[in-house]
Amino acid sequence: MTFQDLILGLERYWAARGCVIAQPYDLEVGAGTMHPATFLRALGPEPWTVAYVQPSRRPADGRYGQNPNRLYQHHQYQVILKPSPDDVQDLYLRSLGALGIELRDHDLRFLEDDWADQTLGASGVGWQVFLDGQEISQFTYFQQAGGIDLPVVPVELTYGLERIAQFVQRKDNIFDLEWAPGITYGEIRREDEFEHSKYAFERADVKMLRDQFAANESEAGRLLDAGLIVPAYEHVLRCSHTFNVLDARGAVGVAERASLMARCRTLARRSAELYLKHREELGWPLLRKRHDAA
Amino acid sequence: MPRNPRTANPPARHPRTAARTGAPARLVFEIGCEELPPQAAWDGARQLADAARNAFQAARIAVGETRALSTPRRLVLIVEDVAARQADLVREVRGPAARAAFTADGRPTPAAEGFAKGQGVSVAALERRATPQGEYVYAVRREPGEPTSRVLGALLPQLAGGLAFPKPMRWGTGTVRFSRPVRWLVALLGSRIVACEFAGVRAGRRTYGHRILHPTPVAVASAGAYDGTLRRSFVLVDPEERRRRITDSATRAAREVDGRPILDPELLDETVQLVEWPEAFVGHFAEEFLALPREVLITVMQHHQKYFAVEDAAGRLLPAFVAVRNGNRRGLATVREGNEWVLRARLADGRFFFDEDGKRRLEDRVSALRDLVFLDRLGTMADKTARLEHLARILTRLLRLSTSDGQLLARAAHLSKADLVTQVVRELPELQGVMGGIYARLDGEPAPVADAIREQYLPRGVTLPASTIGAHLALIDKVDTLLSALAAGITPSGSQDPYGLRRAASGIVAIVLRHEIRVSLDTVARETGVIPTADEGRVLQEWRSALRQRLRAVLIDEGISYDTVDAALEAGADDLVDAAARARALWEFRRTAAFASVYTAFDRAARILPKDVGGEIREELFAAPAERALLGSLRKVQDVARAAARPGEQGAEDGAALGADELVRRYGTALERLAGLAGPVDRFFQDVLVMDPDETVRRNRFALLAGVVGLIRPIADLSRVVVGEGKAAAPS
Repeated sequence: MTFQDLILGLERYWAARGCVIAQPYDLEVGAGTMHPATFLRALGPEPWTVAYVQPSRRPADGRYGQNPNRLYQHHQYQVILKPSPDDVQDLYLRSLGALGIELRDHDLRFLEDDWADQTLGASGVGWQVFLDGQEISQFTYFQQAGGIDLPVVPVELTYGLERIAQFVQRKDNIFDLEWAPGITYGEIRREDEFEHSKYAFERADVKMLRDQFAANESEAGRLLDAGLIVPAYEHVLRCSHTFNVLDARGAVGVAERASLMARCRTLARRSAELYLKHREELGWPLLRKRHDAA
Repeated sequence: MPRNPRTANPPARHPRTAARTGAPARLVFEIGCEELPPQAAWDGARQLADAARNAFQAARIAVGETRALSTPRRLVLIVEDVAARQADLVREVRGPAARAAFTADGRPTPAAEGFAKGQGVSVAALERRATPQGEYVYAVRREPGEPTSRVLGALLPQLAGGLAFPKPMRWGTGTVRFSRPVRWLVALLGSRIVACEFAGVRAGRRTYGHRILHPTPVAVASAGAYDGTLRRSFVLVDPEERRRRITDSATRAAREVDGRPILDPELLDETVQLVEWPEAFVGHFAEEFLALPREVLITVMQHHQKYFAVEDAAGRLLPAFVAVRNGNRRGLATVREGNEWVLRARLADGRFFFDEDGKRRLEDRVSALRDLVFLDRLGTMADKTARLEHLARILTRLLRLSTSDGQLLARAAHLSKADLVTQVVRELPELQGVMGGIYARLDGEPAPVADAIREQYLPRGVTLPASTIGAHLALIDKVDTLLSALAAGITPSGSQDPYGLRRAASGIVAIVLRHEIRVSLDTVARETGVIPTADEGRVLQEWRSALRQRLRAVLIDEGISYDTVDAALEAGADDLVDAAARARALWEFRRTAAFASVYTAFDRAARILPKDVGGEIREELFAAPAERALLGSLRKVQDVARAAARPGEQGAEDGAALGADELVRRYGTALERLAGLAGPVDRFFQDVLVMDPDETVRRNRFALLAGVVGLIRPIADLSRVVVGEGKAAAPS
């Protein structure tokens, strides 16, 4: 099974189960959780199901395309089911079956793992899913986002696409993965990995990034004041990524680190609060729609 | 099963058919969950059994053996011989005296009528009974018991709802909090379903077998058939059976490579709650990885992959592991191959990190500690290292360590945190200290330095630092953590102790006692310079109290009564070894006949003394022979008593080196000698009026008694001792 087969298989599987197939967010993010389709839609009582691939950037994890297991940018397959359905574990297991993984021939574990994201003020409870000793997914029942308790609990399934592909293809090196027939992951991604690593570790202009952080922060604040939630939240995402690059560049001191994260968190919280208020003013449209249908 | 003494069997005048009463039956209550964290599975079962025992007793339902089992997907309560009905409740309430309740001719008075009404019985039903206080009126009410199945309908959901988990969660649209989502309930009394509901789930007889091996639900015919039904569905519901099967199959699997599994108890406990149908198998890794330190290999296998490491008869690691699969042998080759593939990648990572770390000396990493936070508000690891080096100098001076030991400690302190910026420790944080020790050795540091670095995070469990330098380093590491946190205004509150301050305090006490480190902890704290001057009073007070509380707990754990411990600690707890010695000596002494006389002498003297007495004893003012006799006895015992006085606190250099056993012996001797004061004190109180009208004489007598108290008080403040029937000779 190629890397793209994996993606296509998941897209088909979750579309058939009623998920909106969204597209990756077109901004730099560290995880699929930061996509507004997760972070904002997780809030409030409205039902929501969505699935999408999210290329996720972790500048400090870059290894110039040299390390067989580390990437500046990896790919997550993200599924949100809200409220979490009673049979969600079965739904997840059947998705593995849909990928051709015959569970009777493997060993599957749900190992306790609680999750928290400091910059988003989000946290949840769940598991890492292990297949024959390999971690292939994160399975999380969100409890909070933007520091706000979630009255209706979404479940988040995050498939580590490279990990699963490595496991299925038995490739020790990510760059040897077959992305599509006849072309490898390395042939597609290695140069980008090298250049991004070079940028994040050596060339990023610290002053420019600091200015950018401050500018994005103040723009986010201004937009929040103006009630423009998604544009404001996008500037929070920009702050977060800028912080990650600064951190990889070794430009963030100990004391500053906590303070930059707290600044992101404050803005994320305000975005979340404003989003909730706005949806409530709209009368929770998706909730009403479901009631009308019922 | 003991019956509640206030209950009785159903009275014979309510005969019931067999169908209504029924024979005692087995109860099974299964809470089906998504995969529980192993700790929650263990704790949940324990709580369930305990709560059930109390609940059945409170509900007046006679039961047989009560136990709770657990797997990753279920908490199960099993109660044998559950009575079919609650026992009737008999309530007896004593009312007014018979002569107030009834007139002479036997007619009820308003008092009787009021009482009967209040109790909800008729006046005619009031019973007259003779009691030792005379004849009284009683209201007796008998409330018939309900059928057990009806009571259980409310009781079982309460049991489930009463379980407490460290990190409960919500799911779906529900508001119930549980460790993981509850998906099904089985509640069977005999073969009948107990109608009840919890977390939005209705109880029935439908359960689930093994997730993969038996994916379809299965009906449990009766409570008695529960275990067998689950076994046929590939679930061993008893964790102890799973433990045996894991141990046996792991041992068998390791034999394939002529080895034996290292069955780490924590990993075994965890593994038992990760599988419902365990099957161990052996896997291999390339021999070349054995070049990695044993600790690295074991940590990667145990902590990260949940594998048991395998060693040969001589205790050498073999290039193999034992993993426990949740399933049978089908596809085992695939499972083995997958696990080997994952471990190979992990070990390749580990080797890469280890080789990278080897390219720089620990010494050269110390400067990088500037970029690593110790704890919020407590600065960086570089700050911490500087404080440890300062503390090493303080300890060297106070303990008068040899120059070479002082240098070793200083070196160990300097390098102690450097491994935190190595790649192996970043990947495997639980190896902090251990890797430092390994790298120090590779760098050619002296062996005591390497050992001390390895031991600095002890005690862990019951393991304490073995080496002297290690004990000193481990001690100052914890002194710094606790003191810096207190100085920054961080204190543990309730069950919350995110900074590990209680652990630090108990570490200090354990190390000091084990290694008999004679030092004034007040002096150490003052000399560190970390306490802000404005806050000195508060910080020192919290510091003393944290250590004293821990010491108190340790001594009570040894079997010394709490009031004995308090008496000893009240006399000083700054030198922990000395304080412990006084407590132990006093406890010994307390169980001898002489204790009572010393106690009485102290008590009488202490009671009559006003505060702030002192001054010289002037023999020329003595009026009675008893005064002179008491002074004589005082002089006779004071040398012995003072010889044992706390050397650490008073800076008496001669005593500072005494070990714990010698201290206990000396304090024991001192207490025995103090018993010699009892007679003279007695006579003194008999013959002499302390409160003499002449103030000079009175003050002189106070001074004499202050001498008595002053000899005892440095050892123990006996006013803390609780003397009652048998207390003074309480068994240990």
